[in-house]
Amino acid sequence: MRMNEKRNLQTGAMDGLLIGRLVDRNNSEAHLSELFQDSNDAVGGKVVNHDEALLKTLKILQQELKSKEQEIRKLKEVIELKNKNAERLNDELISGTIENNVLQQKLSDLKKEHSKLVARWLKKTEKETEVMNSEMEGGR
Amino acid sequence: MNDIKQLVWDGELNVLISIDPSFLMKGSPKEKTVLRIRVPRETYLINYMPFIWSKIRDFLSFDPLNDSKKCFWFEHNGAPIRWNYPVGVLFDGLVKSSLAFVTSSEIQSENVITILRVRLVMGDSLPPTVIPITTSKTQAEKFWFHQWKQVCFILNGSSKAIMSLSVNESRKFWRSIIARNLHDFVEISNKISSSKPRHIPIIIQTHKASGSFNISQPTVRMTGLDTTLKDIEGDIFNAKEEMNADNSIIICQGIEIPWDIAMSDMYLKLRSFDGFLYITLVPKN
Amino acid sequence: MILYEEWRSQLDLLFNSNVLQSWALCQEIHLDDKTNALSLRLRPTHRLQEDTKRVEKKSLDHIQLCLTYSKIYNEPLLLLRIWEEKCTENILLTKLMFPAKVESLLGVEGKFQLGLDTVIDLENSLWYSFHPCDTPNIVGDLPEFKSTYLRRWVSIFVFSWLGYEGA
Repeated sequence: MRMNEKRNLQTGAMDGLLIGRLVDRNNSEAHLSELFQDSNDAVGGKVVNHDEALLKTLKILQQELKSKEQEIRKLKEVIELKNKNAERLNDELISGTIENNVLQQKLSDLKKEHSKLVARWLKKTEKETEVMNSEMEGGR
Repeated sequence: MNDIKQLVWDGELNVLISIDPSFLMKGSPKEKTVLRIRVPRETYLINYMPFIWSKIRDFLSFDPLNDSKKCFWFEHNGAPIRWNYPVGVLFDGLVKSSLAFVTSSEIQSENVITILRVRLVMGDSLPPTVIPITTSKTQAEKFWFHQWKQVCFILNGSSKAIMSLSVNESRKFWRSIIARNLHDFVEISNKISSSKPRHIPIIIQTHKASGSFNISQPTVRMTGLDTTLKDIEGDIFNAKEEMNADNSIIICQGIEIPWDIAMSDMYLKLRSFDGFLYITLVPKN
Repeated sequence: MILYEEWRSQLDLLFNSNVLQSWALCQEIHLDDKTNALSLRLRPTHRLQEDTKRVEKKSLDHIQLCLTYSKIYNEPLLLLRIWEEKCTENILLTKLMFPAKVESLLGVEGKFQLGLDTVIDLENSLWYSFHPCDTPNIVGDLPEFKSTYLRRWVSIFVFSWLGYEGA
């Protein structure tokens, strides 16, 4: 019996403490609450009235916006593809130029070699002609 | 006891919901992107979704109720918020310092205002720990009822008590949350809970330095009527290295709880509207 | 009802029996010793793939199952995730899918109740859970058949709606 009484007393004191703290909590959390809308009407589906015609227009416009956004996305994809193509062309152009440069170099080298060879050949035929001439003169 | 239940039930928070600009058409008035409402601690944030949609409906750049490609969720300071916990529990978990819970009138100056700041955001995929907000009107109710089923099982060892509620009673039960009817709520929740529970349904959240939460759900067996919070200290701090009874305080329903409180008493008086007793560990300053 | 230790040893038996490994749908299987959960990656059935395309207009990639234990209900717990294939900015990704009517899509309507929840023991990750509160009635928990509890549970909770066929 005495145990029970003691327990009740303890519970009473504890309740007092909890009540005090909860009251403080509610007071402090309600401070300046007038800046916030009382939401009793807000929960559970009670919503603000809207003009039906306006809502319809809104829906149509949202659809329109959505399709435009899709269009933009598609166009962006197209642009991306074109950009990639342009890039590839550019790459090819560059490699073409490089190839061209190499070929040009080769060409000028070959030309030089060619003219050297021609000069040597001319010299050689000159010598041969001289020898032939002198032989013919000696034979006369 | 009824006084305490009433006070717990009456608790309301100032909630500031900002809407991410990605929801709205360019050029929407700025004041439309912020909503200020009083929200009971004992409810879910997503119970306000119809209200939020209706407030910004005229400026939305898409139709959220029919566009299944986007995911929505709430954030606080860039970290996702779990709507599946009571609003009050979310708030208690976001308060970083124990000072905020000291309610002596000295500190409470004229200009101090308590606000829960949340942001509604969207993206292509969801943060991993968040339950997606669907357009179903019964999402919150279904989730909540499932919570009560678990609670019923933990308390009584079977789900008989909750399964034997009539359809009308179940409806009335959820309605009591929406319509803020404490009388109905107590009447039906009492049918589910026994005065001598076998286990206590308890969820503990710990604020981590990284800003994220650690959540645990220990099994707390009731050995006698006199089990106090102190007696389950081991369960509460289990495997949480940095926290102990000396450097942290126990917060429940936004108030500090003394260690010598009787567990069964604490459960019946301070449990949340989903049947769980939520405890938040806050580091002492 | 099945005690945790008993469940754990039956889970090992199930894993070692290779029933799941030789299942035609099973692409990957992993028994995690830390979380004590058996996780499975499944190829979706043709029917499921077609239904997803028709109803959700999405492309199904794979199904992830996790066989774990509910300490609240003292029952085996089946968790499920559905992954869709999605192409964003030319990169192919998989992401979680949340169908409007998940029970009807999976074809378990009226049979099982599913709910979305974050699972604390699995790092608060998001799963559909098959509500386990009716399990004893569905599986039957007579003591003499206790030793095959998990095997029967698997055949009802997993194979009965996904279909078992050896590889």
